[in-house]
Amino acid sequence: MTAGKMAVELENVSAGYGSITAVQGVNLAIEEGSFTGIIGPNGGGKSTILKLMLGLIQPWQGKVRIFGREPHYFRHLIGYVPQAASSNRQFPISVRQVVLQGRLAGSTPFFHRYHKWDHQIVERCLTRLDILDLANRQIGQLSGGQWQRVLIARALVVQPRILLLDEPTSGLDASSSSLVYELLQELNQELSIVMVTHDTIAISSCVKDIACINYTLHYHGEPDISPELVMQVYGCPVDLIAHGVPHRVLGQHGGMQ
Amino acid sequence: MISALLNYNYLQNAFMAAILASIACGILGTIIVEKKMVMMSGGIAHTAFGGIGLGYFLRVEPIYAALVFSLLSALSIARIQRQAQVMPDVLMGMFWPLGMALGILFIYLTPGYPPSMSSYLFGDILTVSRGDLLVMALLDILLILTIVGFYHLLQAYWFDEEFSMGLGLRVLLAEALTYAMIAVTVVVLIRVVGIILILALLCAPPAFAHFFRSDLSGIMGLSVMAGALICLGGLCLSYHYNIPSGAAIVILSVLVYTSTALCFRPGLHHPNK
Ligand SMILES: Nc1ncnc2c1ncn2[C@@H]1O[C@H](COP(=O)(O)OP(=O)(O)OP(=O)(O)O)[C@@H](O)[C@H]1O
Ligand SMILES: [Mg+2]
Repeated sequence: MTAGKMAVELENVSAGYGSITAVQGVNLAIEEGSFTGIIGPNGGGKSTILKLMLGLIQPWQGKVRIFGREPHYFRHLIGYVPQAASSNRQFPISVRQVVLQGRLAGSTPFFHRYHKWDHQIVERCLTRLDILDLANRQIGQLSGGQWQRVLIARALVVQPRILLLDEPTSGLDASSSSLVYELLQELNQELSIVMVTHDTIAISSCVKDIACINYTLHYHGEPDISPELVMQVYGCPVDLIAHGVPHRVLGQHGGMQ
Repeated sequence: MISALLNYNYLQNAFMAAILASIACGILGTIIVEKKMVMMSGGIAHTAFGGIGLGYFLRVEPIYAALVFSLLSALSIARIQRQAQVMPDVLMGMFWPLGMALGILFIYLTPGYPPSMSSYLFGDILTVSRGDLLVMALLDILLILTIVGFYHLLQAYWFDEEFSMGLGLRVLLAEALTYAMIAVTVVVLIRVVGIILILALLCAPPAFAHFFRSDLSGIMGLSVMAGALICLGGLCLSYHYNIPSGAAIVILSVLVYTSTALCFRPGLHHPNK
């Protein structure tokens, strides 16, 4: 890991929508090569943090930096996997066409045509996610888990340096989830990953550090959380340990900080 | 009808108008239906009436005034919606009657005997002139060039605006193009079905095509064909039975759609149900 260089920095960031403040005073620095899990309750502002990193929304206060510059400079270096439920699955478009859209980054729009290598990259990513056989299906004809993998493939064909994933394994069965986690760990050799998740298996087995967000950042560091912190973030004791998974999350000895 | 078509100029014009209208309504109708902008388009269509009124008031050809007026209002609707984040429904609830109100106001202000507006409101395909045809053809060409030229950008914007923005694509350009194309389509269709009846012709062919095709360009192609058959069928009915053409076309289009929908078992063929 190339320690020291920052992939993402949030400096005292506050942001929201209209009159709603979603996050307040967040300071978060993510090193290059890290694998950060963002956890927190529903409505806690996790998706908002990702949107700030992408430059989809502007902070009201504070600064967002990607590789030391404003987000829009490096949009072509960020792969984004939105929350699957947010997409219009009725739209008449095939899996291949959706994934190809990831190749549009930095292209000139007028009379744009996909090149041969664009198609090759798409085929490679579809193969990697084990959905090449679905390439010509309409997206309305996919299961939730298959669609989730299409979204991941679309982010990967961007060939990003940072991958932002918003609950990438919600709705996936155990074997598909572990396929995704294995893939992410493999990708993490080459790029930085920030993943919003509610999945305890992911927290305990594949992320390198976690950030707990509920309105503000409560904790950022090793994936070891004390019960006090859980109380603080979720407002009630939540069992963050999956059965049969080594206890890395909830430190038994209490206060870790 | 065939011999009449060969002999009468106005029938030839009507025939051409039906074809030109179906190109615009098939292509843009597909986008409107798939991107769920039906009410938005209804609103933009009705602002065109303000343009017609303005045309009479300023003594310029109403169709040109309608083109400029609906382009400007479509772009400002897009802008207001993005900046103020109002609900599209509410925005349309105001712009829709605003367009009509402005039209009525301009016509009231125009000196002299008030002109008959019914051909703009309800369409009259049998009175389409050579000049109208020329405008329609040019606008059709413009639409096709825009769609072909910006297809990938537009498709990305229509499907997933947020992701496109995250990629750094020119979402604002795509949005402006989309709204401008809706305004242009409205103007192409005014002479054929009229402002009040436009929505049916925008919705029925793509909704019909959606039963048979599930790719965007396929739906566009099929709805152009369906639109052409509906417009020509309506023209025939209108000519034979001497009924208003706009009404004939709209009734026919809704009949075609509903009968297909009833014959088709949803769930067996429809990919999204
Ligand atoms: N488009 C929006 N308009 C208005 N408010 C919003 C919007 N999106 C989110 N919010 C508000 O911002 C806050 C944070 O939302 P956010 O989507 O970031 O939560 P989240 O942590 O991702 O939740 P979840 O686990 O349910 O996905 C919430 O209070 C929510 O009500
Ligand atoms: Mg979320």
